[in-house]
Amino acid sequence: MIAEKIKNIKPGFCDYEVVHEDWIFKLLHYRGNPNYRTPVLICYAFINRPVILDLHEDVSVIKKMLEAGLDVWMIDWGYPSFADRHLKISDYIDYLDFCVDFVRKERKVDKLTLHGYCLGSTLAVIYSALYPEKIKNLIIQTPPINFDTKNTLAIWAKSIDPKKISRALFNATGDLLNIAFLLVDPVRLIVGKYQSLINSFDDEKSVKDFFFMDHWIFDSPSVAGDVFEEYIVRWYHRNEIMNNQYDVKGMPVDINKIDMPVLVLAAEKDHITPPESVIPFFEKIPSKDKKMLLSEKGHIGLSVSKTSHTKIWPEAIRWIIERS
Amino acid sequence: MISQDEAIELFKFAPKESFELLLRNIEIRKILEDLWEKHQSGAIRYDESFEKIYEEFSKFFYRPIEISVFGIRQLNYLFPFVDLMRILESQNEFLDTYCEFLSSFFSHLKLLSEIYFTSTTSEPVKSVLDRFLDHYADLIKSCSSEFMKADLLHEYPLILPKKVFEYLENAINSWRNFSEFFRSYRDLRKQAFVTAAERFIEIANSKKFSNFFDFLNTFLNEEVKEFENLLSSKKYVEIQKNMVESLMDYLYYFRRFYEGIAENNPLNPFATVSQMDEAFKRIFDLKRRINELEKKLDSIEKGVQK
Repeated sequence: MIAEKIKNIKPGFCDYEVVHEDWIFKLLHYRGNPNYRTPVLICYAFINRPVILDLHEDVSVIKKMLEAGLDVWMIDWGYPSFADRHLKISDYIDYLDFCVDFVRKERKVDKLTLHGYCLGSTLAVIYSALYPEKIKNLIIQTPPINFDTKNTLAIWAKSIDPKKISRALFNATGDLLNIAFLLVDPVRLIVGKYQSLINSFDDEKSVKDFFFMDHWIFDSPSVAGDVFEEYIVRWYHRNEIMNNQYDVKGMPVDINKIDMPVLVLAAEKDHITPPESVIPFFEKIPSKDKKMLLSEKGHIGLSVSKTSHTKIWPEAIRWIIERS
Repeated sequence: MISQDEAIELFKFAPKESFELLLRNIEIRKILEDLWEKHQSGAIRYDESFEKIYEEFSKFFYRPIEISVFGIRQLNYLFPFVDLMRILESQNEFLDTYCEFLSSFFSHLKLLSEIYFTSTTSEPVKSVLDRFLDHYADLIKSCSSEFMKADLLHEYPLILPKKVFEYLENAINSWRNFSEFFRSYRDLRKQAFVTAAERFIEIANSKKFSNFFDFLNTFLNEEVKEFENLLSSKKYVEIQKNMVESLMDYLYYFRRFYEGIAENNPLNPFATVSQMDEAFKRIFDLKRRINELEKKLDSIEKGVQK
């Protein structure tokens, strides 16, 4: 029975403790035995849940980092409810700043490694441009920085009026976002994927892997209404970050200030944030120590595929360690 | 492939969405296996089997529309509308008449029994609670005075502010627009599915697939190609944008209409979501001010310590 195979599935493998909470935001610290002085703070996206980086033992990026001796911290942006509709992107940057200061103080270091994931990369880039003195290394994974791309999701995002959505629903709900993400590639995601599952009903590992992933995919927090409006209008419609027009509470975000070592992790088959979402940024920043690792997988495959865990992550972790 | 009992067990442990999509795909698989058998014994053609596949493939995406339609049905029962008010008023007259009849019938029986026994029975001794309940019942009864019976409720459109009716009108117009865009959207998607299916049928009828999986994958690949072209086309993006926006307008205006009714009822004990939303906005503004002040205090303290 399939139910038997999946009944104990719960994404998340590594142990952590919640070291700080501010309403829905949390700072997590993963338990480990760090050998390196510079801590790594992961700034996850405000869409979906951070557990994709620690989905299960075999494909846990966090586990790999801990085993390599890194000191890993993570920001969990939580589940915005109706009451959180008026959160703004500046609130996310403020909490990121709080966490950076918290970890620096805790570990008695001036700078740390900031690792952004997807839209968390956008926050990480904004933050690094605002406070370059606090960031030793910047890692951005499947990052949307240049929003002027031709992929279907970007075309759709550029066409919608987000104010109408937040006015009606208050937040861009998880269900709405799920439908949008599935609609981008409906035949593969609605039919192809499940037909493959049917083919492998007898293979326990495949069934488990499938449901680990689906648990993550459909565990979708809402995006706070004001955040949704700002990110669609200022990032997608106007591409303000790449055009050096973006600001946080009046503080200009100048990507020419990104001069720290930068590692970009991008995926060739990424239909959400294709490599063009970062290449112009990568070429533009003045950092002299910058590198891009390109996975042959897609947006999620970069975190959870076996190929990425054999080829990309060992190299990425080595890069971090050499600068820690 | 999966029994009913197994499906129920699966629902307990799988995400709801995965469960639904898996069940739909099991149906799709059965249809494709039937088509595969037909293919082995001869030619296939576009028939109701493909229509069923399309139905299973599409239903998941039409959920927001189901929710909207269901939502308005729910609210219609909660809020008074003219037709409902008229029914309540006519029922009310009927009930009042019945109560009056029962009351006079009871008085009649009481009087008759008094005459029959030639004496009245003494009032039984009542507990404090019973006396309180009688008193409370009298109090409530005294409320339904003649003044309360003004038969004006069905004229309530004249009681509400004009803005409320503008919301209703906007909601109806948005729904009308949405219906049109949704029809075009559905047609575009259906057309893409049919075009790809016909191309697949042509391929299938011109060669023999060696196994079911080749047959299945060729069908899916044709659909993928067609949908990729469709989804980024100017026409599709425009229709999708208009459809989403008119649905969102409909949801907003209808909610504001219901909120208008609630906000204009002086006895309404509940805050509306828009009022709550304004309160949350103010709370966030205050929180930001507190954070700024804390930061300033912190930097002053650090300055003093130095």
